[in-house]
Amino acid sequence: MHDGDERRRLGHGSSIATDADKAARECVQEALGGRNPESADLMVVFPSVEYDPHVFFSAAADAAAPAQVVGCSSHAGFVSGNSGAMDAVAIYLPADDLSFGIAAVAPIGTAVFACAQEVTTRARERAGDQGDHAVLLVLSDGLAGDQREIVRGSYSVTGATVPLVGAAASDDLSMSGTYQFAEGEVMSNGLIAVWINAPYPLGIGVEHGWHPIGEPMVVTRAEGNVIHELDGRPAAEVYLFQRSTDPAPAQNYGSPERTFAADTFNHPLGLANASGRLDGRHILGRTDEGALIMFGHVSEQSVVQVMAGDADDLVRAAGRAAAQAAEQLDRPSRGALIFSCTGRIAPLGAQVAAETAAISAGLGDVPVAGFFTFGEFARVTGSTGFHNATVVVLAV
Amino acid sequence: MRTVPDSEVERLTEEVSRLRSELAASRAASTRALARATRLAQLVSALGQRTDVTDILERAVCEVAEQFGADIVAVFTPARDGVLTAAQWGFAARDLPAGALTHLAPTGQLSAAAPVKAGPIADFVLPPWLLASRPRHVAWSLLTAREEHLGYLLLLRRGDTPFESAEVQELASVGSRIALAVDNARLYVRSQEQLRRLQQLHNATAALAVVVDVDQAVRDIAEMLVAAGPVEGAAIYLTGPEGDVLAARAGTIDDCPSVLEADEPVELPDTMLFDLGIDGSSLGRLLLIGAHADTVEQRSFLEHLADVGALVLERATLFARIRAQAETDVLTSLPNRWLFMDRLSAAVARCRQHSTDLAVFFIDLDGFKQINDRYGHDAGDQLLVQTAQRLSGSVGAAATTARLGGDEFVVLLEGCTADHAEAYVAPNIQRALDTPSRLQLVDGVVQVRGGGSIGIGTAEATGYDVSALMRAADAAMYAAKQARRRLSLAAG
Repeated sequence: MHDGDERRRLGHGSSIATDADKAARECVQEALGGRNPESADLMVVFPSVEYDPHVFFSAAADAAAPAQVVGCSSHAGFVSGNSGAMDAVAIYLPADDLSFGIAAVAPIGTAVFACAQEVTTRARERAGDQGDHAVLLVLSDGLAGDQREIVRGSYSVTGATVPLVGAAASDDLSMSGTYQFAEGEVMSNGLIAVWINAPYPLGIGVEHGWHPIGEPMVVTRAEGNVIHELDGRPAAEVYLFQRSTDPAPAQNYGSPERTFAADTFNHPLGLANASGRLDGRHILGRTDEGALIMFGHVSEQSVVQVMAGDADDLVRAAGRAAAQAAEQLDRPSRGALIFSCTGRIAPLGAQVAAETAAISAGLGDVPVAGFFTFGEFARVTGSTGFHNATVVVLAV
Repeated sequence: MRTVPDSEVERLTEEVSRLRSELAASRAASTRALARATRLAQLVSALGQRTDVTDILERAVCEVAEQFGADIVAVFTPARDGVLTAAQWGFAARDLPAGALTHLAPTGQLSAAAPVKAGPIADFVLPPWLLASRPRHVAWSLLTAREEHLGYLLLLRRGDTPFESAEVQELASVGSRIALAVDNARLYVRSQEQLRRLQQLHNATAALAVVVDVDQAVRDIAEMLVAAGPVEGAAIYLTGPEGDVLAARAGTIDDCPSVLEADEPVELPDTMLFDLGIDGSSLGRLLLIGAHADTVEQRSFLEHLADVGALVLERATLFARIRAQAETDVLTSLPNRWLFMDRLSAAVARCRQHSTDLAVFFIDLDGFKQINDRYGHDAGDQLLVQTAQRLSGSVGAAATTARLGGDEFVVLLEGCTADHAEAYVAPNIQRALDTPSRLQLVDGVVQVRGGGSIGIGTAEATGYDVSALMRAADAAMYAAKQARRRLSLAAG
């Protein structure tokens, strides 16, 4: 490999150190791989919520200076070439001929659409207006209401020609709060937009690997992210009937709702989209009345189907996502960011690293890294862009 | 044990694989069919709870885009010079041209019978700003509700996914559903607006119903019109001997004329002039500036407000007239006993509070009965009127001169001590009384010198007691009359 290629190569680093400062410096240094960062470069970091976010992000910004640093909290991170889930991950994107415009807003509260519009507009301005091949990367608070509104708000600024990619920040499934970091600020309930201008196309892949089982059902009553009824009957009852296997032996996740969520990771709901494909939606819990609480909002009268998939299905899907992304590139990839749903960890089981490896291999054995999310953003064509139970690849 | 040849195993494996993929494809097809069957219901459900037209259209373009796999969806509404973008999904907001878009919608190609036209991009003529998003398939749908043309729905797909014939039919239903939602929202807004105006009218009427002072009434009416009516400024003119004179104004109406000519021209398109009259009698006129009365409802609302204004004004004017009658002596136009006692009570209270004094002059004409008997009641009335005028003139505007009844008059002068009353005021009054009066009789003019007796009472001397004060003044007058009589007898 030429020296120039090595300088441009995406770098990743990880750490399992318990000290936030140490973990941040370790993963950032590893991602830099001895290279000196420049102010136009981008460092993306994904620490677990167990770290003090102020200490971690501050140390990461210091270690990566003068590069721009963005990031968000994660359930866990991962990097290619390493077999386990990582507490802290850093991805170094040397700017080379890319330019990055970063904007952030917090708190987003209920003004999700307006905030998405605002950060997207500002990010575009800071990237020096729109390039020939622009991509919008967003990192949101995974607990911030209807994530579809982020896609809608950003879309109203980008229009159909700019693909959208990104993820909703996650925590340790306690649902107590996520963090975002950009422009030197630590936020909770924040939204970050990174406008990426490139002189050549970037690649985006999105796949989940689940297949439907049972019969398609109509959501006959829903409010926000709660499905009350499927085919006119209590949703949880219908869901449990439709899945052909009993829930796994209950693990104690601290509360019945969280245990239910964990037990349903192997069988997310599929939401039929216009093309007839099913978009994944994980289940967050159930109410005493027998309603299903979902990750993400579900519209009334939409069609859903219970889905199943094993580790092999999910790993193959990751390979397909990488292939999609590679197809859009007109040159060899120099690495990729990956956003994989937290709900995929349990079904992947021992093959968690295989998902990462499949993507790396699909792009020509390049460095890839990412984190397990509370929702993934990916829109290239069509108008739906919020996903769940899915793996999303942004190849550069 | 029979051995199955490898070729057979291979064939069976392939068969199983084929059947599995057929089953999966069939399942996917049925899911897709069901999803398509419910997407109109999804749209109706999403639009159902909305009552704001902008909100409906913005939601509609987003829902249609997601459900029909379109990258761009827009609603265009008719404008004078083309169409306006009412809502859009998929254009970068800054790429949209400003103002009306001409030659965009395929107006001639869509009809009630064929409300949707869909096909590859080559079948359509689209402007460059729209082609910049590189669409490959286009669909236009007419938005029609109750035979009213509300606009067009445009869908663009950037991927190579043509609009199928089933989708074309669905889009016709989608178009009419969106139009219906917009129509319902407009009806809702209109009925809410009517309800709001009725409420405003009710509140304004209730507030104005208690106003009985004309000055306050005109002020309140003008303010009510600006607050409740769709107007920027209101001026009220009251009809009097000098024409229609500005009585009150509110809002942005600084340069209105102080007197409104009978044929005042109404030049500006948003200026309106109403007669404030009941049953043909005009009390004044109402001038409105910046009146937004484009619809029948708005105009009718303004007319209602003007009617309410006229009613309130009439009531206040009537009340003012009745009050004047109740407080005024009809013959002399002086305050009557009721008003005098009212003012006296208030004045005594003030004096008590500030430890000042006041004087009451009790006046009784001398020989009034004889003049009445000799020259008739008309002549007596003339004497009373002339005396009233002279009395008022002798004590000045600060004093209250009143007729108690018959030939009894009183004067109230605040701040007047007993000494001052005796030394300065009483002689003035006496001169007024002693001045001869010329009375017009049927057969000529007669001059009479009536004269009169004056009794003075002061508040301080009577302990700020209104009754005691009046009794003291009356007694003093009686004593004076007796003295004048004795003097007269002595002189005679």
